[in-house]
Amino acid sequence: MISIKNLHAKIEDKEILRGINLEVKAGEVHAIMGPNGSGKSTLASVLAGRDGYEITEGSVIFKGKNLLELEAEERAREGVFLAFQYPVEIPGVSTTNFLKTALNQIRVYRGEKPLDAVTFLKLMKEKMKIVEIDQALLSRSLNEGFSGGEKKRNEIFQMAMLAPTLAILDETDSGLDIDALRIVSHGVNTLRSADNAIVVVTHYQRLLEYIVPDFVHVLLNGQIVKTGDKTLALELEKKGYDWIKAAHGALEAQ
Amino acid sequence: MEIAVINTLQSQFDKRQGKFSKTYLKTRQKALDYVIAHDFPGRKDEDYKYTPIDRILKKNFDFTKTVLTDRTDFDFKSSFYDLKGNHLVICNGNYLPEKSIILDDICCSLQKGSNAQFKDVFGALNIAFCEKKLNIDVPENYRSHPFFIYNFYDSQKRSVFGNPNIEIRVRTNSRIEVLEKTITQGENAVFINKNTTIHLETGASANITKIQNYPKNIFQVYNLDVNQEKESLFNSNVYSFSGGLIRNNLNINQLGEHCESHMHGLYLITGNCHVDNHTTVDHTMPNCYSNELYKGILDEQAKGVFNGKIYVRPYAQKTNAFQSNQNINLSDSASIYTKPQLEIWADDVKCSHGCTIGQLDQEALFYLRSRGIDKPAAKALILIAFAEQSLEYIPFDFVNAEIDVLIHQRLIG
Repeated sequence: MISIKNLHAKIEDKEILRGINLEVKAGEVHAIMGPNGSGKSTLASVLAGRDGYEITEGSVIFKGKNLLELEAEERAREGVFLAFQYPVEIPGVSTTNFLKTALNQIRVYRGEKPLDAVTFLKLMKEKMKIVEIDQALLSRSLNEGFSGGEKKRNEIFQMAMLAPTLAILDETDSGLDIDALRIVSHGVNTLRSADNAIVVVTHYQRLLEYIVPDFVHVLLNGQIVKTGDKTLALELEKKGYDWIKAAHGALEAQ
Repeated sequence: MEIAVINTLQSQFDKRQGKFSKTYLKTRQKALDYVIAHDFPGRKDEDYKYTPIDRILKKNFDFTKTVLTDRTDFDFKSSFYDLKGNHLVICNGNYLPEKSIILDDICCSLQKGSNAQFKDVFGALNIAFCEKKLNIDVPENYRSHPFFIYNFYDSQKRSVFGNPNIEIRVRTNSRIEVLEKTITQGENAVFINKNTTIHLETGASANITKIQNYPKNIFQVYNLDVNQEKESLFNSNVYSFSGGLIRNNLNINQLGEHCESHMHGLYLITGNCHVDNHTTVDHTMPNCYSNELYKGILDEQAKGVFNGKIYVRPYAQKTNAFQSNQNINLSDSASIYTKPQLEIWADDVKCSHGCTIGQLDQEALFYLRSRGIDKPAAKALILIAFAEQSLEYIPFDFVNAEIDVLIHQRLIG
C-alpha cells in the first residue's frame, strides 16, 4: 500500500529523517516506537503533507502514486489520514460543519455524489457509537475546551467518518486515561480491516496491548534501526532504548 | 479651514439662508463660525492620528464642486425591504417624509434644524447645514414597528456633501429596532457627515444595526451619541465591507444604574478601504454592564483602526466592562492600528480589555486540509467562523442572512 524508500527530510537546516525504509501492506498494523527526538512525529507529518519540511532524498509511493508530489488535501482524498498528537482548536468551526465539507470534497474527488444532509447525519450517528462520542460535542467549536480524551476520541471519530486506507495515529495515547484509552483503541480496532492499514506512532507499549501490531519498528536518529513483532515492544518496555542505542552506536562506529 | 473651503461653505450658507427656519438660524450661524475658525482634524490630533480626515478630504473631496440638494431620480421604494415596518428615506442628508412609509405616525417627525450643542467641527458642520432632521420619538410603553432608515446619495451630477441628523428618543419601557442602510448612485465623491443621537429613558431599549457597504467614492464620518438612563439596554451592531473612508464614532454615556450596553462590529475590508471605529463607554453609575467585541479581517492594502475607551468613574462601583478587538491580517500590506483603553477610578469592578492581531492560523489550515478540504475552502471556513461571531446580537434574521451572504461573497468569491 505504501512504500517508503530511503526517505530523508530536514526542517530548516536540521536533518531529521535520515533514510527511512518502510513497507506497509493492506491489513497490517505497524507500530513505530523510539525515544524523544528520534523523528517519529516528523515522519507522520511528512507523510500527511505538513509544510515546512524539505525532502532531500528518497520516495514515498502510496497506491502507485508519488505521495510527496501531492498537496495535503490530495493525500487525504487519496486515503491518508493523520490523527494529530495535538488536535488544533478552531473557534467557531464545529466538527459536524467541517467534516461535511471534507467528506463531500473527498467524494467529489473520487467521482462520487456529495451526501445530502440526512444521509450525512445518519452516517454520523452510526460512527459516533464507535468512539462513544456525544452529538453535542460535535456541534461545539472544534476542540475548544475539549478534554484530552474528547480531543482524541474526536480524531478517531473523524477517522471513522473519512474511512482512510492508511491511518497514521500520532501518539494518540498521550493525554488519555485508561478508560479513554480503551474507548479509543476499541474505535481503532473496529475500523481495522483487510483493506486498510494503520501506522501507530507511540512512546509506550501500553497502547499496543489494545491495538496489537503486526510489526514494531524502532526509530532512532531518523532511521529504523530494528524491526520485530509485538514482543519487541515488550522488550523495549523492560529494557528501555539504551541497548538499541548502544548496538546502533557500535554499528555506526564501524 | 482652507480659504477655498471657507468661501464655498459661506456662499452655500448665504444662498440657503432665506430658506433656513428662523428658529435655528442663530445656532446655525454660530456653528458656521466655529467651522470657519477650526480645521478638520489630522495626524496631530490623537483621535485622528491614523485617520487624518484633513488630508483624506483634501485628496478626495472638493468642497467647491459640491451641491446641497435632495433632487434625484432615485426610485426609493425599490430599495425598501419587503417587510412590515417604518421605511424612512433620507436623501443626500435630508429626511423626506413624503417618500417614506410610516406606520408609527406618532413617532416620526421632521425638524428644520437643531439647537443642540456641538462638540467638534463635524458636529458644527452638521448643525450649520442640516435642513431636514429626522426625529423618532417612541412614547412610553409603546411597541413600535421596526425602523428601516435608508440613506440615499446621488452624486451623478456633482459631488455631494450630506449632513443627515437623526435624533431618537425612546421613552420609559419602550423599545426600538433600527436598521440603517446606504444606497448610492453616481461616480462623484460623497462626503457624509452624519450625526445620530439616541436617548434611552428608564427601562427603554434600542438596537441599531448598520450595514456599511459603500462604493469607493463614499467618505463618511458617523457620530453616534447614546445617553442611557437607568435600567436601559443598548445594542449597536456595525458591519463595514467597503468604502473610501468609514469613520464611526460611538459614544455611550451610562447615566443611571443597571444600564447595559453591547457593541459589536465587523470590518471585512480589502483594496484601499479605510475603516476606523472609535468607541467610548462612560460608566458613571454603579451596577452597570458593557460588552464590546469588534472583529477585523483585512486584505490587500486595507487599513483598520480601532480605539475603544472605557471610563469607570469613582461612583460606578460593581461595573462589569469587557472589551475585545480581534484582527486577522491576510496580506503583508494591510495594516491595523488598535488601542484598547481602560480608565478605572472605582475599586470594586470587573473589567477586561484586549486586542489581538494575527495572521491566518497555519496549523488550523493544515488540520482542515489534512481532512481533505482544499486550501481556499479551509481558509474560508476559518475566516467565516471568525467573522460570524459578530452576528450574535442582530435583531433581524434577514439582516443576519444578508450580512452572512456578504461575508461569504467576500471570503469565497
